[in-house]
Amino acid sequence: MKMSTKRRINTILSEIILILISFIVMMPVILAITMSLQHPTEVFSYPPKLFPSSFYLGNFPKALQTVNLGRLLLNSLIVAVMITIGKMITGVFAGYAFANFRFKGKRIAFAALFITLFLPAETVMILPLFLIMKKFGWVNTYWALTIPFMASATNTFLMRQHLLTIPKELEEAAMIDGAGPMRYLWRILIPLSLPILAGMSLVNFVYAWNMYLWPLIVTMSDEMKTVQIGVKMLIDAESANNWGIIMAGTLIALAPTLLLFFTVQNLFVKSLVRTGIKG
Amino acid sequence: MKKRSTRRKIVGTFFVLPGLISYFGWTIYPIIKSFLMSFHKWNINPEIPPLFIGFENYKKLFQDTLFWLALKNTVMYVLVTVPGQIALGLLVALLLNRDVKGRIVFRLLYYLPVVTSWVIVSAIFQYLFATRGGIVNFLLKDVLHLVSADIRWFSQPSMAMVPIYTLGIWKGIGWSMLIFLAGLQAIPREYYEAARVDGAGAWTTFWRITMPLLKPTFVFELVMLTIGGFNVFLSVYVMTGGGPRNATQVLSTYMFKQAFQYFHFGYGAAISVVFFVLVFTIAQLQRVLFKRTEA
Repeated sequence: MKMSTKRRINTILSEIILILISFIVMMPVILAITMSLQHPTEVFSYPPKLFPSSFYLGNFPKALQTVNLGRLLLNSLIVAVMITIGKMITGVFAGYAFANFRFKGKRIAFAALFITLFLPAETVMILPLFLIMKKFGWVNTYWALTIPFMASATNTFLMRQHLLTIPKELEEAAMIDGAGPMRYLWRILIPLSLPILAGMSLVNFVYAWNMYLWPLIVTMSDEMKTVQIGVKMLIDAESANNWGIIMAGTLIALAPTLLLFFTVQNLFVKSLVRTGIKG
Repeated sequence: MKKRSTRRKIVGTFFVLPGLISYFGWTIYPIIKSFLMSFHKWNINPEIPPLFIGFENYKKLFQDTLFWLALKNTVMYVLVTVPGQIALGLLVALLLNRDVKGRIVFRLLYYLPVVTSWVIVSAIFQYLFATRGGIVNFLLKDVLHLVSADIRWFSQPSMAMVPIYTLGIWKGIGWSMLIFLAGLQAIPREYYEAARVDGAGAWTTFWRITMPLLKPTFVFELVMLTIGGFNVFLSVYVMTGGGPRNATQVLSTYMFKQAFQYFHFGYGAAISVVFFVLVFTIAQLQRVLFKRTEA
């Protein structure tokens, strides 16, 4: 009896701490929403408000006009979808090859792949990659924004790990039935891997949607930029610090990720645990 | 029979090639190229070929006070944010691992900052730390009365790293929590039951069972968060641009500045090579060190 009361108090205490921390964690986002819903005259009011006193929607169209956010959203969508498709195709095939086939140089190729999982590759490759794009004449095109990111060490590795858990007898049986490697992949392996494939593509999409440095370097004209750059452009444009408009812009840029995140959150969290990918 | 296995070899090669070619072309080759570039002096005019100058860029780099300042700021960022993310992530994970209500909701809320892009959260934090009307100054001055005047977070060199640290920790708690939670759930329940039967208290159980069994998780977090910490870029780029007076300049922003604002490509490449070697060495050291203590 005594034990259970003590445990109950412990649980309640945990709940309280968790609620407090989640309040702190949520605070910036709540404030961003509040800010975006305030009339310009209220934005500068002091003390700052935690919850909106009015429901003013004018900041959103203003943010969309100040920088051409519509076009930038479209660019982000194109880039994110293309990168996701590319990463999935190359990852699935390469993972399949590593798990089910023998070929020349397999061990070296795999070692190289594995090492890059733990490397700060992005910072080192960005400068030469830019020069390569220049040489190809790809600067300021969708090619430069997507093609260099279509291979994924993480996808390949995850796919291989997953396929290794599928018993080899299945492949033998399929081959006796006359199925070739392609047919076996399409008819048997892919249907067996749907949850992990969905999780991977989700993580890939968010990664591509949130990319910043590379699109910044490789795009020149405003029509080619992505929405993440749009947010920074908005900050720079609103030098008078009209936070209402800036926050409206950030929420527009954030909306697709949030929608995706809340609709498939369980899948998201699972695949993130599996991949250990950081934002 | 032999014919079939050669055919399979060809098929396998065919499957791996698209990924491998693009991976070597867009990742491995640029990394090697970065090393080569760092030994050259580049002209902005592409007609003039780069000039081989040996270790000249590195010599200059090691005498560059700004480089050392950027390195110091980066290391400080890692030293502050990595323990911060680990401690808070562990705390939340331990609390969530109990039978609390609304676990899924909490997990979701804590994870939200992780999927949010750096630009967006940097914009939000710039507002939170705004000198006038920012919520942080409001709390410090008018609610807690800790300071008498508004702190100029972004124009005072001694203060400018604080918003950047705060953002780094805040954004990372969710990831850290998730990895710890996975580690905690992998610990068999029987261990805890056995400890309870033996009369071990919560404190003893935590230090004797939970912590030792979480060791691999700790190392994974340490390595990944350190790499992530060294890569800090966008929060600095958006909130302070490296200023005031380079007080928040970090390695990646300094590299970016040299390469893409001054067009010192060779020098920028040298910075990125030093960065690469440094992070690679530290990550490997952490892994080796851990393996030794485990034995």
